[in-house]
Amino acid sequence: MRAAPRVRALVLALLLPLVPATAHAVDIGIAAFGGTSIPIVQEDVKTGGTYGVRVPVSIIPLVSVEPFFASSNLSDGEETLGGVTYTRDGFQNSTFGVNAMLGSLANAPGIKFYPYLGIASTKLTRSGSDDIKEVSYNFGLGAGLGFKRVALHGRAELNMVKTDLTSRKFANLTLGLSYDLFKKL
Amino acid sequence: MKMRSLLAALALAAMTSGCILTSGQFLVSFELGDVRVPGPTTLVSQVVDLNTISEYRDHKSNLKTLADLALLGTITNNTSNPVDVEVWMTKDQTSYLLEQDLKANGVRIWGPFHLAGNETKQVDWDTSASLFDATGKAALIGEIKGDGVFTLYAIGTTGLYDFSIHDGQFVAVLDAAL
Repeated sequence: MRAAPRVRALVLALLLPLVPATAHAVDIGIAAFGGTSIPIVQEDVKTGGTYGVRVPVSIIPLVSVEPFFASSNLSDGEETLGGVTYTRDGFQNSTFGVNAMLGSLANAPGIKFYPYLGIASTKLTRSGSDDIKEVSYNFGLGAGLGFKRVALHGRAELNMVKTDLTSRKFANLTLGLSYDLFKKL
Repeated sequence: MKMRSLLAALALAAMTSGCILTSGQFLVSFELGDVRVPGPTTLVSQVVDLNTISEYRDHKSNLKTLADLALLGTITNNTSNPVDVEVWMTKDQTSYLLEQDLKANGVRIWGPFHLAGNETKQVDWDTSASLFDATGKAALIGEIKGDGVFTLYAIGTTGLYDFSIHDGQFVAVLDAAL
C-alpha cells in the first residue's frame, strides 16, 4: 500500500515525454507477447507461462515508453516428505506497469537491440495465502526484427517483485509481435 | 539528459533497501513423525529444533521473514465423534500433559482442521497454509528467527478425543538474503 503513490509518481514521470507530442515524430503501436517465467532462487514455485500486451510509444528521439500488462501462471511447487509428494499452489502473477528504453520502438526494417527498465504494480496470488501486492522492477534486453509496420521482438528480462526486506525474482523470456497503429514523422 | 537521469534513479530505487536483489526463498522441513493423542489429559509434545536442519543453519543469520508455513501429514480420528484438530506452540521445550496447562502457557498457531468420526484425511499444503492464524504465525516467526527451538502440541477443540497423526511434517519457506 505504501508503494502505490511512488509507483504512480514514477509512472507519471515516465509518461512525461508524451506531453509535447505535437512537436515530434510519433509512433504508437500495439504488441502481444508470450513466453516463460522462471523463478530464481525460489524453492516453493516452479516455471510457468507468461503472456501479455504492450503499447510501445515513441515520441522524442532516442526514447520510448511502453505501458504493459503481463500475467504469469507459475507451476506448483513440489516437495516429497515422508514418502508423500505435496504440492504448493504456484503464483498467479498479474502486473501493470511501464517500461522505458533508449531508442525508438517504431517498427522499421532491420534488427535492433534495446536495453530497458521498467516499474510496475504487481499482484502475486496463491491459494492459502494473502495476496502480495507490491512494486516490481524490470531490467532487460530486447531484440527486434522489423518489417515495415510489423516487428518480431524477443526479450530476456529480470522481473523483481519487492516483498518487504527481500524479493521474488523471475527470469522472463518472451517472444512477441508488434504492429504500428499510428505513425507521424 | 532528463530521461537518462530518470532511468538512473529508477535503477537506483530498485537496488536500494539492502538485500532485495540478493535474496531467495528456501524450503526447510522438520519431520514430526507419528503421534497419537489419546485425549486432553495425555498430551504429546514434539520438540522442534530447526538447528538440526542444514538449510536452516545456512540461512539463519540472513533470515528476514517467512514466505510460507505448513503442517503436513495424515490425521486419523480414532473415535466416532467428530473432532477439530488444532496445533499449539510453546516457545520453550516443554512437556505438558494437561490441555489447561498448555493453553495457559502456549499459543494456538494452526487449525481447526475438521475430521468426521473415524475419518482419515491428509492435510494438503494449500489448506494447511491457510489454517495459520495471524497471532500464532507471528509467534512462530519469532521463534524461527530466534533460537529455532520450540515445542508443538496437537489437541482437539472440545471434549474427549483421540486422534493420530501419521508422517507429520513441519514446513517453512525462509525468506533470506544470500
